[in-house]
Amino acid sequence: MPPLFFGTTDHRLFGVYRPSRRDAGRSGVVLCYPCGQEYVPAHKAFRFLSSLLADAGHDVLRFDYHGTGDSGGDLDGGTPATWCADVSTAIDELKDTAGTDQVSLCGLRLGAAWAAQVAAERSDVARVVAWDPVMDGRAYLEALEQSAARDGDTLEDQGFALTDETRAQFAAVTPEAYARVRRPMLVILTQGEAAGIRADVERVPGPCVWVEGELGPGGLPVRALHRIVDWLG
Amino acid sequence: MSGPVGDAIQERIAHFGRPKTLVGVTTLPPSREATRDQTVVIVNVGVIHRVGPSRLHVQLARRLASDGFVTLRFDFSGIGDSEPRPERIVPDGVRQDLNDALSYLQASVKATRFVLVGLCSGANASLRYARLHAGVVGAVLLDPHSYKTPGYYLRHYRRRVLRWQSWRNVLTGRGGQWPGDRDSRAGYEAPPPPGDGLVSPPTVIPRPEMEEGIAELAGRGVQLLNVYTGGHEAYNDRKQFWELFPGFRGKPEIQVEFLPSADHTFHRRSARHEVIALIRDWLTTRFPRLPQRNGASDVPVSSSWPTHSRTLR
Repeated sequence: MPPLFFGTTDHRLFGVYRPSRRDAGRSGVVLCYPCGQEYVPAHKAFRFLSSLLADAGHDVLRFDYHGTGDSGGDLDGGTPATWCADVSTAIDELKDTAGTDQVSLCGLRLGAAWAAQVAAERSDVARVVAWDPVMDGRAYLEALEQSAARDGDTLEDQGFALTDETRAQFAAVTPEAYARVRRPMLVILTQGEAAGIRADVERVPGPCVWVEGELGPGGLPVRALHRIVDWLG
Repeated sequence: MSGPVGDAIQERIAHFGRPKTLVGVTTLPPSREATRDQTVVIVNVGVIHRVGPSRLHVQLARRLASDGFVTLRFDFSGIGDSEPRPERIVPDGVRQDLNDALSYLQASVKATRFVLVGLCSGANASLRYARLHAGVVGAVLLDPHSYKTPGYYLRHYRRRVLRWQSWRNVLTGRGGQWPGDRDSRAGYEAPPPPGDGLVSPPTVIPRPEMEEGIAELAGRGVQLLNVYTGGHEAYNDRKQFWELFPGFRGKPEIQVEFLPSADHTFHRRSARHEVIALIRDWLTTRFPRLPQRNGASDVPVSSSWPTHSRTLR
C-alpha cells in the first residue's frame, strides 16, 4: 500500500496506491473524495473501499485534491475546476502505474460530480459509481454556507475558502452533469433522490459516511461498500 | 522571530514501523544547513487522520519547516492510512507507534531531539510519551485534558448571569436541551470488535498523573507550551492552569496560553493563524539556532535533501 506524491512540482498531489491482490489486475479504479467538511469523516470508508477493491482484483488509487489533505497547495488554491483536472491526472497516474488502459471512477458526494464531469470528457473511463451524489449544487451550497465558518469577509469550510468562483462552480452541479456520462453508471443512494439521472439507481440504506459522528468508531457502511465492489466486477 | 518563509520546503512520504504499517509525511526545510537540531512530531487528534482538523497539521508542518524544523505528521495504527496493529489489542500502542516514529526520524534525518505537538487526546498522548523518551525536549499541548476549579465555576456562572440569552431562556422556558441528544450512532452497521488493532490516544488523564507528569518533565528541562482554547469544555481562563497547579508558578520551562476566541478544533482561519503563530514563536524562542561552527553560516546553501523528496509549492 505505497503512498506517493504525483503530478508536477508546482501541482503536487498525494495519493495512496493499492495494487490488486490478484495476479492480474482487472482494471483500475480512481476514488474521488467528497469535499470540505465531508472529506475527513469519509476518509476511513475510502480506505476500506480501496482494500475491498484490491481484494476483488482492482488496482486502486485514492488521492487528495490540490489544496486539500496532504497534497500541495494552500487553502485558497483549490477550485472545482482544478479538482476535476486532478481527477484526470490521477487517472493518468494510475494507468501508468498499474499498466492498465481503462479506469473506472467512484466518487462520493461532490466527488461524484467531479467524476461524472471527467468521465464525460474522456474516452478511457470504463464505469462510474456516483455514491450519494450531490444533485442540486445550489441546495448544497446553501447548506454549506450555513455551517461554514465566517471569519471577517472570508467564508470557509474546513480550510477551503468559498470564493465566488468556487461557489459558482458548486452551484452549477445539476443532474445534467451526470446525464452527460455515456458510460455505465451506478448511483448508490443511502439518502435523498436521484431524479433526472439515467443510470442504475440503487438504494442502500445506511449511515451517511460523510457526516461527522454518523458511523461511530469502527463503523463502516458495509452494504454500500460491497455493492460498489460487486458492480465494478 | 521566525526565519523567512521560503517556498522551497520539501515533503517526503514516511512509511515506517516494523513491518511498515505506519504512514506519515515528513516536511523538510529547504536545506540541511537551514535545519535546526529539534525535530517536531505531530500526532493524531482522536480519529482525524494526520492532516488535522481543517488541515491544521499540514499548515503547521509547512510553516515549521520554513522555520528550520523537520516535522513529521503521521497516523497511529488503525487511523488514517496506517494499518491496524496485527496483535489487535494494543495496550501501549501509543508508545510503540511513537517509538517507531522517533526511530524512523533518527534513521532518516539523524534526529536526536524531539518536540511533540498534539491536540486534545493527542496532547494527552504527547504528555505521557514525553515522560518515556529521554530524547523529547519539548511538548506543545493544545487543549489537553483539564479539570474544573472553583474559579472555573465562578467565571462560568458569572458569564451566564450576564448573558441576555440565559435570561431569555429562563423567561420563556427554553433551554435545558442538549443539541446533541439524538442518537448519533443510528445506522451504525459494523460495531467494532473488542480489540481491532486500533491505537487510541487517551481522552482523559487523571489529575495526579497530569501534575506528576508536568513536574517530572519540567524537572528534566523539557519545555512545555500548554495552550487552551475558548472551546475547551473544562477550561475558561488563562489563570486556571495556575489555580490547578500553583506549585508550577515561576517555572521557566512552562508557558501557558489561553486563546478565548479559538474553538477546540480551530475551525476558523484566524484561530489557526493565531495558534500557528504562537507555536512558531514559542519554538523559535525556546530552541534558538546555535551559532554554526567554522564559519559554516557563510557557506552557500548547496546541500539539499535526498532527491526523492519533492519541493513543495
